[in-house]
Amino acid sequence: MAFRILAGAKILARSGVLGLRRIQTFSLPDLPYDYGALEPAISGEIMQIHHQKHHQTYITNYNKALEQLDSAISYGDASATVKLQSALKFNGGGHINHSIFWKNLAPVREGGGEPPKGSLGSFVDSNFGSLEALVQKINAEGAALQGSGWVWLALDKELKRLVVETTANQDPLVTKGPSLVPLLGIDVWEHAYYLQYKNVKPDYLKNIWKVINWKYASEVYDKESP
Amino acid sequence: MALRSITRCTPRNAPLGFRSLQTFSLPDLPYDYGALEPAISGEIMQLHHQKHHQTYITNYNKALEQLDAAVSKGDASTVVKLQSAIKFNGGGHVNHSIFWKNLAPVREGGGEPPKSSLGSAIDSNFGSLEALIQKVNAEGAALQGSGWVWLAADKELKRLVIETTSNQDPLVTKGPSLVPLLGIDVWEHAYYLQYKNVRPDYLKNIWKVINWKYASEVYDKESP
Repeated sequence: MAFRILAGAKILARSGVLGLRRIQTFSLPDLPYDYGALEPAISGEIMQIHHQKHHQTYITNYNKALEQLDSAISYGDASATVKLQSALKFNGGGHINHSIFWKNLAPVREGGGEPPKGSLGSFVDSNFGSLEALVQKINAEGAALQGSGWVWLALDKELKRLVVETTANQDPLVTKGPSLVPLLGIDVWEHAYYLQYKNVKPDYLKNIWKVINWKYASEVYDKESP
Repeated sequence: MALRSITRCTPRNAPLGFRSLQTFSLPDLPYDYGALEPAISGEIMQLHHQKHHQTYITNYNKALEQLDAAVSKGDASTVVKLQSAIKFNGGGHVNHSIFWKNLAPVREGGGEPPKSSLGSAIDSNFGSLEALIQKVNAEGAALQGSGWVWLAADKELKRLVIETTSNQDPLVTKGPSLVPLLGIDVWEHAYYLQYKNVRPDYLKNIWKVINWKYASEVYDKESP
């Protein structure tokens, strides 16, 4: 790969190569639990394919798009740069979303399913009335989502409240608002549940709460709302 | 259901609704669920037909009834709100109804290349059937999220095109002069139980059961 020389402020139109100084590429994060550890809520077969195939593919394609972006920027190819945004959003978003998702889940014996305590617990109550009401709202939004996407419990940092949002395909939550912080995301792409639940998305949504890792959501919440 | 009478404008007393509401029911498949194996498993065909397509029909009928009520009451807000459910579920019904006809068991001609006018149109538009298949498969594999990949006749420009639509958007949303000849469902439910994440393998294999006879009939009707 050609040297990149970052010369001070002068821009050498022809010979100065303005590329990204280095590209950080990504690799598949390990799951903090075994593939089968979330059963019977989510089957081991799903977890393995979801992690090793789907998430890995987003990462592979994101890295590829990043390298192509680096080239396009180096050559000042604006057209290619813009064209790449779709692949960057889709695959980068896929990597971001799934990385959050694995942390949103935990085996029962490691606290999966235990309701949120402390500040997030109270905040859920004041925003939605009760945890049950929140779960019902998320499940309704998740079930009603047309096509592929995600349903989120988010903290709106600016308005200082919790919201339930959905995003399409692999759009990350930030595309719905720059002040939204994801606390919990539930993947409602068919690949997330089909092998086990077939077309019955509502059953998947009902059962996933048994392995939702509220401890992680609380940590994120506490960090954003000191 | 109340009688609807179409009268002159009498703001309060005459309800202006649809004269009648036609609802829909699940069309039968012209072949057994297992008849497309090994290209598409019987398990997938049964779920796809009895659950997914049926659900679109059920929800489409529900949305149509709600639309009828809203139109009768002059409730514009609800009419507009219902368009999403109508497009999604109506589109799901439209698309899947075409899809079942786009498929046929091998012993009923599934997989046999198109002949005569459609066959020639394909060669002149794409170079060869293989080139067309490659393009359809590339577009289908690259589709982000859920959707369909189509071979369409553009009635206005008098040529064949490959298009994709997201979710259950029918082909017409991409252009009013587009006539669907073939549609391939690339929602994960269309292949996942058999092909898992490997959508390209599904796309490679589905051509063995593509019903070119039906596509040719549609093409001949639109391009006499």
